Amino acid sequence: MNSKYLKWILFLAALLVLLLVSVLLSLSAGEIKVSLMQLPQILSDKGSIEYTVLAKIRIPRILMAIGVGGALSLSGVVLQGIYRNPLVEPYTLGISGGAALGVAIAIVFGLNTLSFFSLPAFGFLGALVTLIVVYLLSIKRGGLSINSMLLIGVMVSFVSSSAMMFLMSISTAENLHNIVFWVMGSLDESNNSLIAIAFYSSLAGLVISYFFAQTLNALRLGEVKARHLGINTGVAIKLLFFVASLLTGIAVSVAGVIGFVGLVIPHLIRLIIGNDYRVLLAGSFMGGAIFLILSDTIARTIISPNELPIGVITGFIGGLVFIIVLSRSKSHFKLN
Amino acid sequence: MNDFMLLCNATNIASGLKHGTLTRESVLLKNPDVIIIAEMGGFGKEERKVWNTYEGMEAVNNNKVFLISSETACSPTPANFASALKDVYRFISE
Repeated sequence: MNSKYLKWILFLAALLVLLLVSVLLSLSAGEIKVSLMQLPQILSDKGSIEYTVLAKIRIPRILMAIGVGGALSLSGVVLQGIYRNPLVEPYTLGISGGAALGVAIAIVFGLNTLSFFSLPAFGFLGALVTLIVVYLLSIKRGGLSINSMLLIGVMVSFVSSSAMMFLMSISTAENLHNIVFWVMGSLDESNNSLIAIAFYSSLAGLVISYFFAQTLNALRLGEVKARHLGINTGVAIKLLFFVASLLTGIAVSVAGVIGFVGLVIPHLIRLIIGNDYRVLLAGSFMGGAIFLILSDTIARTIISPNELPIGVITGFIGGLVFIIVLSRSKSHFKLN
Repeated sequence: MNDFMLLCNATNIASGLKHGTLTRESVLLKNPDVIIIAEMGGFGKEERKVWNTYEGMEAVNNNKVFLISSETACSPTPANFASALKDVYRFISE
């Protein structure tokens, strides 16, 4: 009993150290090299180019990476818990697709010029509409059917990607360019309030999800058994679903479509530490943050002075690591 | 864009690039005297706001971050080319 908690604490502490290391690495790596010894000196000299690079480019990107990576990974792990299906993540439910469609609509109709917030707002709206559509369609006779929800989610994401391709084919060259770049995903965000929203809302999501850690543990036994354990599964599932969608909506609307975080990170954490949600939630959050910080550092350094879209990096690394780990591990994947 | 610069006797910091997007850091590193941004719908304006927050750059300190119409600068018919060249020259010599 005690050794289990000790293991958890050690694991989370190790992740925290890893997070700090990747933050420092990301601060110092780039075309303008900054050694860690110089950090205090640079931060005190506000007129220098190095200060501008750190304060206006690297630190905001790191905060975005923590917020977005944490949010995507957390919403992945929560959704997997609800569905008891290892393939579920924001993408497979169509939430990301809905958000992307919202943004594409805003760009094509020129609504993005209204205000700085209109693009994220439309992304968020798209995610929310998708959520409501998937939710309403999968309600059957008062109950919520998890399997049909998953199928409907996949279909909705196909429909929204077709709709997006339609919009792209009728849009002007400028709009097309903007949509494509947005879809590829980037942590380059200069609006401080958007960064703060992404950062704090993902932390809030982590705190809220912890109230449901034991519910998620019980749901591993299946909905019926969880209900026998005295858990109001209907309400809990709805709430968790809503939280996961909000997290995804915010992440996608500020950073664009960044794939694989919600799928790969929770699985890696599961493989290392097991299926208990009390450690899995925080572990996935930090794992997602680390993964995105490192991916972003690679994205902006590997072919410098050019920059790669971060979705490319996460897709490659995430997919490869996942295949390697999966083919090496002897134990079969179990969520229950 | 490179041609405009050459004709105005200016150096383009992105001249060696074949493709892709430039990182913001590399622009900061090269510290250009003038920054010219294509309007691209409303995105150019936002982009200009972002660049103007980067204190310590020559272009920002001297208030030389400009917008250029993507209509003329990015689709160079002979007439457009002349008009965009005029704009670029004005930005650089101002």
